[in-house]
Amino acid sequence: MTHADICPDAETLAAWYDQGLPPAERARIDAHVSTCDRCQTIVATLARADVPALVPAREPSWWSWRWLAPIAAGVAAVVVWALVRPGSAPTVQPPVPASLSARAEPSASPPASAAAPPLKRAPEPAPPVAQRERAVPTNAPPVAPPNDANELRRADERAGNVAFAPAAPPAPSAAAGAIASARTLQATLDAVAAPDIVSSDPSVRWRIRGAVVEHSTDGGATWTPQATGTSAVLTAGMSPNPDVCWIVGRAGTVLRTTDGQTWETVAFPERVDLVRVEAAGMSTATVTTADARRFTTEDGGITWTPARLQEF
Amino acid sequence: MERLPDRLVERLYADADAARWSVPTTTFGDALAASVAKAFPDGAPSPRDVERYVGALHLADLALACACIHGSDAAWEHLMREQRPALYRAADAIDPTGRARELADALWADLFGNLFRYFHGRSSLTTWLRAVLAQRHVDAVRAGKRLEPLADEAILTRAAPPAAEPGDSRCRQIVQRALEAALAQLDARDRLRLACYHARQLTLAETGRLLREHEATVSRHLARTRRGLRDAIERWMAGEGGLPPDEVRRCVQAAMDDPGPLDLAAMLGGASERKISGVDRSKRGAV
Repeated sequence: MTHADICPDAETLAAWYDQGLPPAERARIDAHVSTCDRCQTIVATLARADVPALVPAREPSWWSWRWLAPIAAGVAAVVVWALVRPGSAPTVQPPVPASLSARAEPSASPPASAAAPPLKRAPEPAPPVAQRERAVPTNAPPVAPPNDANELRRADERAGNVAFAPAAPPAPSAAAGAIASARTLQATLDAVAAPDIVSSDPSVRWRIRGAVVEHSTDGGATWTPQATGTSAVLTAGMSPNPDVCWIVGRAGTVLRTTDGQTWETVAFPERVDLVRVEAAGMSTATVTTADARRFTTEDGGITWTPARLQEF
Repeated sequence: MERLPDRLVERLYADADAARWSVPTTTFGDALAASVAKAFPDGAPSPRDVERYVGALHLADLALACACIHGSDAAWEHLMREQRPALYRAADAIDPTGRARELADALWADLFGNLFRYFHGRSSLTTWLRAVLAQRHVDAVRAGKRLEPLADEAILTRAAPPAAEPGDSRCRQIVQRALEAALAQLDARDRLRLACYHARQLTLAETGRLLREHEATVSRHLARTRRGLRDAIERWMAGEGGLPPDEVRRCVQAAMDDPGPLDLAAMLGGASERKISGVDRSKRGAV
C-alpha cells in the first residue's frame, strides 16, 4: 500500500478544490483522484454543489444616475443645435435590427474542436445535476445536431445570444451577467410563448403555453388545450408526423403523444431541465439537457443512452 | 504538535480579526499548529515554510471555527446566517429529492460536536462544509448500491445485448485492451479532465472550475486528449495486437457502432475498489 492509494479526507479535497495545497501535494491528489472512482465522484459532486447564491438585484436609485443629468443636458443641447443650424439636413440611419446586432457580436468561445470518431459506452445513471450554468431554452424547430457536444453547446449559446442579448442590459460583472441571464431565462420560459411545433402536415401543430399544450388541426386558426398530466414548465417540442409529438420541459419532463390526442409521460433518468428534443418517430428521440448533454432513446423512452461518448 | 512563535500567532490573530469573536489567542494558536501538523506530516518544516503556509490559510474562517468550538454565541449566529443557507443550497444541488438535506442537517448537528476539529483553514469554510457533505452523500449512495438487489427489469435489460457477430466481440476486446493501455499512459491531469467530463458528466464549466482552467482550455485539452487516445489505440492494435491497418479500422468502427460492455467510467475509476476507502476513517471520526 502506498501513500497515494489512500483516499484523501474531505478537508484535503476541499483544500485541493480551493487551491490550498502546495504543488507536490496537489499533484499527488491529482494522481489519486484521476484513478479513484470514489474520489472522482466526490469532487464531481463538490463541483456540482458549487451553487452561487442568487443575490437580489439592487433597485436602480436616482442617486446612481444623477451624474448623467448634466451630460444628458449637454448632449441634448448639441443635438438641438445641430438640428436647427442653417444649412444642415437631418440624416436618418435605418435602424439596425436587434437580432442582427446581436448576431454581429463576436463570440468569446473558441471554435469548436474537430469531432473525433464516436465511441459509445453502456449507459450509466449520472448523479442528479441541479446546477445549470447555461440553461438556454430552444423552442425553435431543431436544426441538424452538431456532432460535438461542445459545438452543440456553442450553437445553443449563439442561439441564446440572439434571443436574449437585445433584452439584457450590459452586465457589470460575470456574476451579475449570470444572474441577469438566469432571470431572462426564467422570464422567457414563463412568459414567452413558444413557436408552433409544426408536424409534417402543416395543418396539424401544437404549441406550448407554460405547462399547457394546445393542439390545432387547422393550421393554427383554432387551438384546443390538451391534458398532459404535468405541471412542469415545458420548453421545446418536435413533431415528426401528425400523430406523434415529443415535448420536453423542466425537471426531466418528457411527454409524448402517438395518436395526436393523448399524452403520456416518458420516464427520464435525471431531474434535469431539458431544452431541446429532436424526434425521428414514435420510438426515437434525442433530448438535450440545459447543460448541453444529450440523451437518446430508440425504444420510446424505456432506455436512454447518454450521447457524450459518441464524441470520441 | 509544535507551537508556533507567539509573535507570528499574534500577527495572524490580528489578520483573522479573531478578537471579533473573543477567541483566546492560545486556542487560535493551537488551531494553527494543528493545521501545520496536518500539512507537514513528514517532518518539521522550516520557519519560512511555516510562515508562508499559515499566511495562505483562510484565517477568518479558521478564527470563526475556533470561536464556535469555544462556544461563542455571536460566532454561531454568524455561522448560521452565512453558512447554513449555502449548505442547504449545496444539498439541493446534490440531490433535489431532499436526501442530501437530511445529510446536511446531520452534518450541521455534528458541528455542535467535534467536527470543527477537522477544519484546518486550507480551504474556505464553505468549501469544506460542501466537501464533507459531498463525501457523506457519495458514501451513502455507494453503500446503498452495494445493498440494493438487482431488479428483474435491470437483469432483463442487461441480458438482452444487441445481436453481434463473433468477430465484433473480439474487436471490442482488442479495443478495450488498447483503450486501457492508452488510458494508462495518460498524464494524471489529462486523465482527470477526461474523467470529469466524459465519465462524471460534468459540464465544461464545472470541469474547468475543478481544475482551475477556463472552459475553452478544458475543451481544447479534451479534444487533444481524444485525438491522442485514438492514435494510441490504433498504434497499440497495429503493434501489440498485430492487426493489419484494414482490420484496425474495422475493429475501431465496430467498437464505435456497438461498444458493448466498454465503460469509460469504469476504466477511469476502476481501480477504486482496491483502494482503502475513507469510510473506515470516517467511522473513526476523521472526515
